[in-house]
Amino acid sequence: MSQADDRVVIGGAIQRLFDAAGLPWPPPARRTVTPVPLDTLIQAYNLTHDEVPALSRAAAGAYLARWGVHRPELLEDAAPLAGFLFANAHGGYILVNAGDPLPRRRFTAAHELGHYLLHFLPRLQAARDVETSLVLHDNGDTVREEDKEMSLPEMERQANQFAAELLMPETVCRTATHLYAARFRTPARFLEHHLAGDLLVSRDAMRWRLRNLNLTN
Amino acid sequence: MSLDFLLHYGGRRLRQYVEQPLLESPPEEDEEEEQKVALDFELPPDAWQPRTIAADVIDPATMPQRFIDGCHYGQTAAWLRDSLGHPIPVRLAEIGGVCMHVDGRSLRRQFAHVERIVCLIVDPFPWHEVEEFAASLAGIDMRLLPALPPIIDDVRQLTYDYASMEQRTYTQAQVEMRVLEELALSQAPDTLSLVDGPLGRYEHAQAIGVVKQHRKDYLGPNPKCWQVFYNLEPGQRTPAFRLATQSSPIVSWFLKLQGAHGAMPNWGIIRIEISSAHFEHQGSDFDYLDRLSNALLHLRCRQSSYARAPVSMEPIVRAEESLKSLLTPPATLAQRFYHLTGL
Repeated sequence: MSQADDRVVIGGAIQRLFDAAGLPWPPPARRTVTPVPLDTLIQAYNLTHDEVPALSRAAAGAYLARWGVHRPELLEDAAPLAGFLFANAHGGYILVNAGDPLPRRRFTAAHELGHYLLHFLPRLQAARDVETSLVLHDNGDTVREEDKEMSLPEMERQANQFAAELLMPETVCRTATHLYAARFRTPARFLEHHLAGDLLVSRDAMRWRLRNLNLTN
Repeated sequence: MSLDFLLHYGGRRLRQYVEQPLLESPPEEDEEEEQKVALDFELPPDAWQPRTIAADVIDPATMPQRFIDGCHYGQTAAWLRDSLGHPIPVRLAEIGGVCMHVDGRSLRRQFAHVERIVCLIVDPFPWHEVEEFAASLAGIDMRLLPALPPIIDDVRQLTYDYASMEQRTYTQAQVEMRVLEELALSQAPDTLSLVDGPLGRYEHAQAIGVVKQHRKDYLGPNPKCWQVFYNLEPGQRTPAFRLATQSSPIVSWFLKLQGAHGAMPNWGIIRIEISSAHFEHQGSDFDYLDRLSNALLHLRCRQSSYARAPVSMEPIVRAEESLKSLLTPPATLAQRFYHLTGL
């Protein structure tokens, strides 16, 4: 799939997400920039998100067991994870490592939401067996999924792009940049610091996003 | 949950005592880079001697036309506790950057930008509560400024040491203030500008940084360099040295503005920074550093009532006064904050 195709698919998924949450997309252009309400968006799809101390497959398995989801194969792997996604036809769980900084926790959750909407939901909707469930986890460097049908690097790229577009919407970045530029010369660092703080993302993520949108050098 | 966030986490006001312990200015770790010092840039360390630069005639090309300062005016207005009982200080402040411009024989404010910030370490809280709190603050013209936890044993982590946590919010606000200074500086990139503080990551070819505090040891184990430093008389400078950073390299030297018998040996000494690009643009001419130092010597603050006068530039003092006139007194700001947040 080309990057242009990715943009269409991701844009469509985000549009449906905001529709489901009853929120306008793209976010209206405003002078003040506020964080995207990730909590509201995640709940629009009957997903539960939670922050788990020392997240691992084992910790996730124990967490799911408390809610009646028994996946004993998870309980043996204690390798640390940044994020974990479980989903079936009834809904799902997005778990993030409670020990990570808040901007990273949000990015990880948005990333897992991207996996859910882009990669899991279409397959769950197509599955004949309503008991079908899918599991995926990220440790920041690699991603693993039980079913090897999909190309994992491609899924990762799409999920990252989804998270970036969701948490740092292009319209918000462009509007804020143009509003600042109308008032004064805006060095890249000013934009990075301001928008990262206002959108509750890391400065590295914001720097990458602004460069990607050709708003800074 | 919105502005109730503070109450929800046991927020309580923090009374401001008359005698507050002065917070040290620690390295702004978000900003600082490793710097390798090359002391033999102008002269080998063994050959260092004080250079007399004072002259009656000022080279107009070395006289800065713009003066940049930042201001951070605030207090720890409240503190919370996270679920594990860590104390979370809440710093309420106004920060700003200002530029004064030479207009004939007077100085005029050319640019100023001020922001109200609420700075705290947000990591221990659920993100959706922080999202709502940030949005609510934006609604009352305040910005949430997330601070990073302190570094303990090489790892960023929360601590029960209140002072360390408070230091982080202070440092984060300082870092943000420096961003606003850079904003002020960037409004006229082609004009020779004097900045209060180190140049840091400013990529401004026409900036001169004046550093009043000597926190870092640039001279190292070189007795000769230190002897020259302590032997400086008003109107003398040390030879220049080069600071190599990952971003733009810096040319730096010490200049003694004032000093009297009985004063501390490093009293009245400032450190000056210009970018290597700036120096090269002047033909890598060390006489240019003399002329520039002479211009700064003539700009020194002569107000005996100003506590930091011996290491201050008069136009920077004026810039600071100009910016402070735009700020709200911390007590007034705190009262408004308490009213809006229900603390």
